[in-house]
Amino acid sequence: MSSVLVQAALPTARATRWTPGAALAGLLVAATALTGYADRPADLVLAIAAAGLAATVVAGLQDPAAALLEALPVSVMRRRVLRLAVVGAPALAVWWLLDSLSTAQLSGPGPLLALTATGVAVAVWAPPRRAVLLGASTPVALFTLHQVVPSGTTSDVIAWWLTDPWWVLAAATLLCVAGRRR
Amino acid sequence: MSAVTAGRAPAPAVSTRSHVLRALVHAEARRMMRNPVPWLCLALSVWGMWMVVPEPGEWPASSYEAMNPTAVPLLFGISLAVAVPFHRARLEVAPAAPVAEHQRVLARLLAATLFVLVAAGFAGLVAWRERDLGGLWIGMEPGRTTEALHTTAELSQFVVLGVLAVALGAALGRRVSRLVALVPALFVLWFVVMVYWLFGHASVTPFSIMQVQPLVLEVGPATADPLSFPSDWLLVGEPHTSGGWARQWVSGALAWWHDVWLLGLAALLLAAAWPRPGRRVLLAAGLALAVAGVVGQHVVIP
Amino acid sequence: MTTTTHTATGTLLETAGITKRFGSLTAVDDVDLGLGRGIVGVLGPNGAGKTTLLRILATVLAPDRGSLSLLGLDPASPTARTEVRRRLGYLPQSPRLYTGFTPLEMVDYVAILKEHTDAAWRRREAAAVLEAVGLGDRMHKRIRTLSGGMQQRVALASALVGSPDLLVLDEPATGLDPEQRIALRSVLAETAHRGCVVLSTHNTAEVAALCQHVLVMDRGRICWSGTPAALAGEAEGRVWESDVEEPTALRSWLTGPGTRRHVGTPPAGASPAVPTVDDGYLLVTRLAR
Repeated sequence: MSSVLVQAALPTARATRWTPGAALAGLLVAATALTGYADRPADLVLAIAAAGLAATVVAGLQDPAAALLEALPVSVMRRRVLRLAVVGAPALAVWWLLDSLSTAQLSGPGPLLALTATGVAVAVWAPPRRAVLLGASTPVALFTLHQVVPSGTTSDVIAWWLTDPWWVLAAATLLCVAGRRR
Repeated sequence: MSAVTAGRAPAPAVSTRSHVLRALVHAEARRMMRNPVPWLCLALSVWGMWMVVPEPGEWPASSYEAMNPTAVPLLFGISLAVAVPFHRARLEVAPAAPVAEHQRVLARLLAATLFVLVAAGFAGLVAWRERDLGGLWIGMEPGRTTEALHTTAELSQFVVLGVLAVALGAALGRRVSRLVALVPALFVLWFVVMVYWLFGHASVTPFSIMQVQPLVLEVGPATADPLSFPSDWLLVGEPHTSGGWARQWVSGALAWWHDVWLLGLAALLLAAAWPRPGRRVLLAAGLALAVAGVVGQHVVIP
Repeated sequence: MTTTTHTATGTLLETAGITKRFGSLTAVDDVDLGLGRGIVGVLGPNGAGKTTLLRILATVLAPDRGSLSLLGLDPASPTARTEVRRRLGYLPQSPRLYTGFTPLEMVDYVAILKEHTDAAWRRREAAAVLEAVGLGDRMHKRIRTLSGGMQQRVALASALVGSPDLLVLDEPATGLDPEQRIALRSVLAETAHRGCVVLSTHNTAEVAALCQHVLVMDRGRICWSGTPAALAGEAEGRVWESDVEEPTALRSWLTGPGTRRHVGTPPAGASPAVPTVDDGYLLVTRLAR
């Protein structure tokens, strides 16, 4: 079955729209470069990058041919994993590029992976018609709430994707596994 | 299916173009206003703005600077709400109807001006809140400390940013093929704007999207006598500078020229959403305004 | 070939030598038409140029060559085109709908685009056309929740709004069940009393039941024109059935009971079958090549 996924990777990549993601990556690289120019820490820019890239990866789950492929032997979860791998690999590369350009304390791909997994979990469990839209909005919503909610328990919980990203990643992955047949 | 003519009155006389436009604007506005996203984002912006309260020992002008970025969630919401009808218009509906494409686009844009009014309302709320707080602390030197309010020129930026948000939503909605891809795109575009100090360096300040004043201008080394500087300068010294004396500079003229730059950008973005006839006019006007805005800011900054 | 169907009431649609090319492909080639009140069906194989011709008749595409008169006006002039569009209903081959709208909102929106600004009249009109296409009880549901056939009927209602004098329908019966197809015939027949209906279809039974006139297109040209009965008559004495393949047949196909039906020149001794519009269509398209 894995050879099927390997062979399906190229057509999946060709069916993916890369322009919005590439434009986004360019913008983030420019913003990170500006932080060096302004001589300020890039933590906030990297947090925005994590949320933006995670939302882009989750948005990549949208498959225009999903209805046609529903009755195929390759399950919907495997097709999701394939799409995540195809879009996620360049997103990780962009993340490492941003990380190397900046002098931020926030380092490592933890927040990116945590937000991506949370978005995917929402996409798996949300009603099918709006699943991907809700999933892609999740990293954005978490970041925005983190910015707005004043310090306290709620704020701490919302910030887990920053403070304890690996736990969030594990929990979200479990949710995805639990919803593998959805 | 049944008889088509049963119960149908003959069509009224043909309407004038302005009547048609008004009917379209009404229909589009009703749908745009029904979208909950901009209202949720407005609530977040108002909440964020309300949380800005000057605290003892804060960085000079910290709360003053923090006011502007609170508008970012609202601007994001406006762009998203405007992007939806423009994205919908990628489908060719009633191609043989007498209302031309440019009239349909114009109707959508006119309907979206309601969101510009919302941005203006937010600016008014900021002005009221600052007066309610008794102004925001902006300076630090004894005898020169002052409680400041945003000037009309600075507040006008919220309205112009509202126009830019509408134009950005229209452009991306028209050009991006998948609605879901708009969420990360608009998020990154607007939230990077929130990091206003990215444009802190003098050479990039005129190109900022959200201009946050006061600008910090270096005026002398740490050894300089602060009393030797003009008395109307708001001075900042160590530890709040990287060394030496700087001054906090607020300028109405700079804010107005920045508005011109933003209007230029908005016109350039609108060109991406406008049908081919008329696009060149928008491009030319946008380019002229953007260049004028940048040059104007360069001239004004000391 | 010049095709004329106009009656004493006059010509509503007239073309002279219209041609449309896309690169090296000639989609519509030197078509002359003169149509009056009634229903005209356009038949033809895939890629024959039906959709391009209909898009030209609906003022969506401009011909590269030739002249066009719709409802007595020349749509090449922007003012006249707008006037024509006020009196025109068009259903594209793949109609696009705003699936987040309800049918009532969708038809109401199209009515605005047809320059009807009286909101009360518009609402009544939208409700009436939706009722006419059998969606009276679904007009407040979201379009995305409706079946394919119902969505097709929403698009049809959008074309019917405002009682157009010229109705151009590209495969209007797609996705409709037999009962809805029969109902569609009444709706179109009624419109045809006051104006001209041009529709394209692949369904010859539809044409036989609905149209007063048929145009058969192939490779951008009108290769045959006449009544449905005349089209069936083209195959008179040239259709037969047998159990084996026939080398003299232009087209042969297996029928349900397992026998073969042929059109072409029957061999000696073959007993002719009763011709249908299908037979006539297959014969004229084959002879045109």
